[in-house]
Amino acid sequence: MEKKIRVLIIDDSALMREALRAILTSDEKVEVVGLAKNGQEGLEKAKILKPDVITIDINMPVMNGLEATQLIMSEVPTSIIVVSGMDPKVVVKALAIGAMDFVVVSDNIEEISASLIEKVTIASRVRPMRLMRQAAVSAKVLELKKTVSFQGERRVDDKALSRVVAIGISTGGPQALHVLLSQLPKDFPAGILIVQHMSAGFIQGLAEWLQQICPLTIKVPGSGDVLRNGYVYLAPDNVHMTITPEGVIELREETEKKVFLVPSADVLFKSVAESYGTRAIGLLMTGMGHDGVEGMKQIKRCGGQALAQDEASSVVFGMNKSAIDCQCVDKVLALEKIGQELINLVSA
Amino acid sequence: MSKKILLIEDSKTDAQIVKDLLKAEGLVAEVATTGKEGLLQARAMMPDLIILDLILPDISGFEVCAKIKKDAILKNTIVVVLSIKSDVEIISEAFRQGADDYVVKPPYPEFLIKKIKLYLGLRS
Repeated sequence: MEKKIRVLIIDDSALMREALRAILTSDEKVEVVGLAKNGQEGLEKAKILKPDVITIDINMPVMNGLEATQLIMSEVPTSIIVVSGMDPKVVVKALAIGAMDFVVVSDNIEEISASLIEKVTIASRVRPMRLMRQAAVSAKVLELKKTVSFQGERRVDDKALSRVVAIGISTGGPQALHVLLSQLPKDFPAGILIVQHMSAGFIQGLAEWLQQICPLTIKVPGSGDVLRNGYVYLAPDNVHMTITPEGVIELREETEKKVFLVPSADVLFKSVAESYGTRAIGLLMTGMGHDGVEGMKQIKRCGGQALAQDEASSVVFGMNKSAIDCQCVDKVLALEKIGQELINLVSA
Repeated sequence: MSKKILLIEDSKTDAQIVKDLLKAEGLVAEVATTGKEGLLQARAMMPDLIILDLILPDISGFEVCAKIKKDAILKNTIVVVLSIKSDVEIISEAFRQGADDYVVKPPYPEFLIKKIKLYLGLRS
């Protein structure tokens, strides 16, 4: 009889452990040899059981999935499949430190059944030594990438992203952006990300219209585009726009049925706060509602600056009002004064 | 819009491994076998991504990387170094010369493909 694929399941949810066990054992070639409820226990069991494949969750107490993956790959290299919710940053990190593959779990766990079994089967055939070498290098790469910078001859117009301005805007937005962006100089030393709430289908037209009066490069980015100084990215329809510390734009769809504001300024601002900290500037302008307020608080928490457009120059004093009312705004400015304030802040 | 990949690699075997990996994902790479050829081809085709070996017959991969990153038109191209070397000094130098990422040879297939797709903005 052919040897079965031996799998260790590491997940802090008892429900999830059982669900995964049921899925895996439905295939007669697979045998679940152990269950662990956190990374620490998972590491210990991996060393004792020496499974062929490990499935691991990311968010766990005591020791999370990323730490456990790193330790397992250095002490008892095994093919690891990350089974967790979707967060591209986390997935990239997990792959970089040695996980072999990942499966994204949504509410309906049955959906991942076929994919999980297939990936476990493929994973069982891989020899971990090659993985281990890659994992060891990847850990070094991640560390070095943060600390070693491009020391080539710096040109005067070097566009590496120094600061990020995140703008949330809604009703009255196009005209306000027309005024604001026309005031910015060609060598504006920051990148700008904008969530303009708008009916679907109009954002590209807005970008083209604004480009006519603005010396910066305005576009609607795709996932993977890199933000540089002097670039203005308008969030596309129906996806949330976020940015990594490396300046890479990530777009993701909203999976929660009850969230209607997509793209969301809160999502953008939080991502800018987390990726850019003290180099982040949040700006809430004319618009209905309060999208962006929670994100603005995060920008402040992470050491960034917060600006809001004033009531007098706003078509609708909503989003900006909410931020001002929460007292998380450093300065309130009339529309025609915002450009100069931004220039002052990014040139400091 | 289809993505353009340039592979600068002098070893035919290594180049074939990468091309096969990419082909399985429906991606195609142009290949240049020397540094200078790589630079010329990069300017001609304006790739979205360059996979660069460090050991080339004419000039070093470091030099090629730096030239790409200083070039007015090419500087925003993503450069992923693919090299057999895994020491810290080499990896540091690659980043010092402007590399965006570093992958060790022989590349673990899933790993390289996932990185490439992430950089090209493709969904896996």
